[in-house]
Amino acid sequence: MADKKAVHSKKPVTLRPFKAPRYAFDKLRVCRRCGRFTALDGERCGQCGRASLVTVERHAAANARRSMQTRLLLVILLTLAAAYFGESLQQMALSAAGGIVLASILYYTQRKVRQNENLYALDRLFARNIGAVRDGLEINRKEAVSVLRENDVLAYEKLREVAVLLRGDRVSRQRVALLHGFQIRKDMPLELEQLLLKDFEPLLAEYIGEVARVRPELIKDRTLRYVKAYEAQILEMPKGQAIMTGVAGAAVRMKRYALLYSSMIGGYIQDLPKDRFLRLSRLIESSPYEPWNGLDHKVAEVREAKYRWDPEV
Amino acid sequence: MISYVILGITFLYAVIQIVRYALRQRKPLTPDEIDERLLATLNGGDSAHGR
Repeated sequence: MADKKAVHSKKPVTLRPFKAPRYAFDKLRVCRRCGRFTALDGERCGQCGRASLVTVERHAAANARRSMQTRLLLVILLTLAAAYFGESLQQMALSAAGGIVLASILYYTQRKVRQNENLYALDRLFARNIGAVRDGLEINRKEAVSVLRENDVLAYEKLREVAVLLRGDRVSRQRVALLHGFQIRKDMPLELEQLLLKDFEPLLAEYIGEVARVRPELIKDRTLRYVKAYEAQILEMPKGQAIMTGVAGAAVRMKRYALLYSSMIGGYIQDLPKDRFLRLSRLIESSPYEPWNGLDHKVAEVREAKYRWDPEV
Repeated sequence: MISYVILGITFLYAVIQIVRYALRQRKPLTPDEIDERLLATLNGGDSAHGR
């Protein structure tokens, strides 16, 4: 009854789909006018209001191109100067020809190394502007928190964008707190590993339990390690036993997890739903010589006590 | 004479630039390295945390 009440107090929401970019810096954009960095979507810069936001890669490529053009231009100017100061026509022609050859070689080399130079320019851009990047992300985070009261879904979505780059516990904790207010459904773009904290957080444990119920495939190694580390604290929670059983049920979907976390799973076999128990039972049957750490005996005991008359088990 | 001096300077400048490019090309940067470095700097060396 209390569980049902808790679910009803949660809000049904629709989150926009989200795909984490391959590289975290793909999320970053910089304003060409004022130089402010942002990880949030939007056409206009939050500081100067102009539609001058470009991706950092594009900005770095432009910097690299400008730097290469300046160097080439300098060679051309020096060549012109050499030709101008020539004392005879022969000297002028020789200087011009030499300069043209040098400029051509430099141009050819620049074309060859373009890709690498773009990456160096990107690295330099971050190294020189790391403070500005940090400030921009902090402004983004504050912006997300500022809309929290009016629109918690939008706040969550903004924090999700920021979290691609800011991976500390502060943003994760805020996201977990927001997720706590939402009804978790199977069709939502959910995350879990990205939300794991360094210390124990009951809201996170509760969220893990919900994810284990609706999207067990999201329970992976790091989550299992977290749950194992804070098992005692989770069991002290009102729904602790259900959370642990849910996680144990999710863990048995892979043999590797069942082997690695056999001692933890062993404590919750009794409460596992039938399909999960069947899965674990078949895993053990298919690999009887694996080091199950006593899990196989526990499964046999539960089978005998609970599913003795069940032809499926 | 000035003309050849300037040409010499141009030559030296171009060679230095080409050598710089070549040295960087020998030790190329990868987007993964940049990403890792950026995340480590932003998160105080805790880039592995979270993802």
